[in-house]
Amino acid sequence: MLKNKTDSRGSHIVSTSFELSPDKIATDKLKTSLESPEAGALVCFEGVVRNHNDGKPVRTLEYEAYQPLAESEAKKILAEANQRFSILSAACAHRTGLLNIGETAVFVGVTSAHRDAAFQACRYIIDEIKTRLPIWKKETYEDGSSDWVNCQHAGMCQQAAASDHADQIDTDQGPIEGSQGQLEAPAGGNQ
Amino acid sequence: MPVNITVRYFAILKEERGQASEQIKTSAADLAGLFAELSAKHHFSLVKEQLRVAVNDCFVDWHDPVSEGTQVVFIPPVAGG
Repeated sequence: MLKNKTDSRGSHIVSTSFELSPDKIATDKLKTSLESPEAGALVCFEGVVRNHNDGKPVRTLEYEAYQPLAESEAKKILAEANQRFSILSAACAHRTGLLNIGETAVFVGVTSAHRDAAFQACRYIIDEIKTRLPIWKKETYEDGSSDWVNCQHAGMCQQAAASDHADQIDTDQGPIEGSQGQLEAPAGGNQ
Repeated sequence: MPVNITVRYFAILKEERGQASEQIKTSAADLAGLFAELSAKHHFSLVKEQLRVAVNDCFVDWHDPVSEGTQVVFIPPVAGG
């Protein structure tokens, strides 16, 4: 786990953490780590493995990560969130390895004095994580076939970046919506 | 002047290459040239425009030279979350 304590906005010490692990995400423990008497808001997001994608029934998801670069990029994203929004703390965790339907693949939790900053920072962090961290997922479908998400066709990657998988719990209602996140191309650009 | 480097592969590139890393000697002028060289050899399904490139765990530019003793990673389109 990476932990940073950044002196920010005078008296506030902003604490951030990022964890990449094959183990089940301990969401309660992460929430506890965010507790602060100054916090008036705690916003959490969990991306959950959904049983279908692009009209195909999904059986399992497998995540692979390029760990050192994922960790350094996550640290940057958390620092950016801290700069942009008036937050008290932020914790993020991402799974690797094989996940079943219903398991939490990614967790983002943010605290702030007032709710706006926590909502905005949480949204910023998850959107940036999805487009910038070198993490890949392979879907295995009910018929036994499998695909690396976003890697099927040349030129499709920008569109595919919007077609996220694990950020919605299916409700059997309405169309499947893609992420509203920024479409920063995962390909081509350089930081 | 050829240089010795390590190339690490992830996700779809790892499957297509059939291994997670390799040590190679290359005379490619830059990282774009290195990818072209490897792609011609291993017939990767992804094109350079879909990828990013990292050297020694940092994102870098395709036009950067290939330096002795470095570790190069081609980053397929990401899909975290």
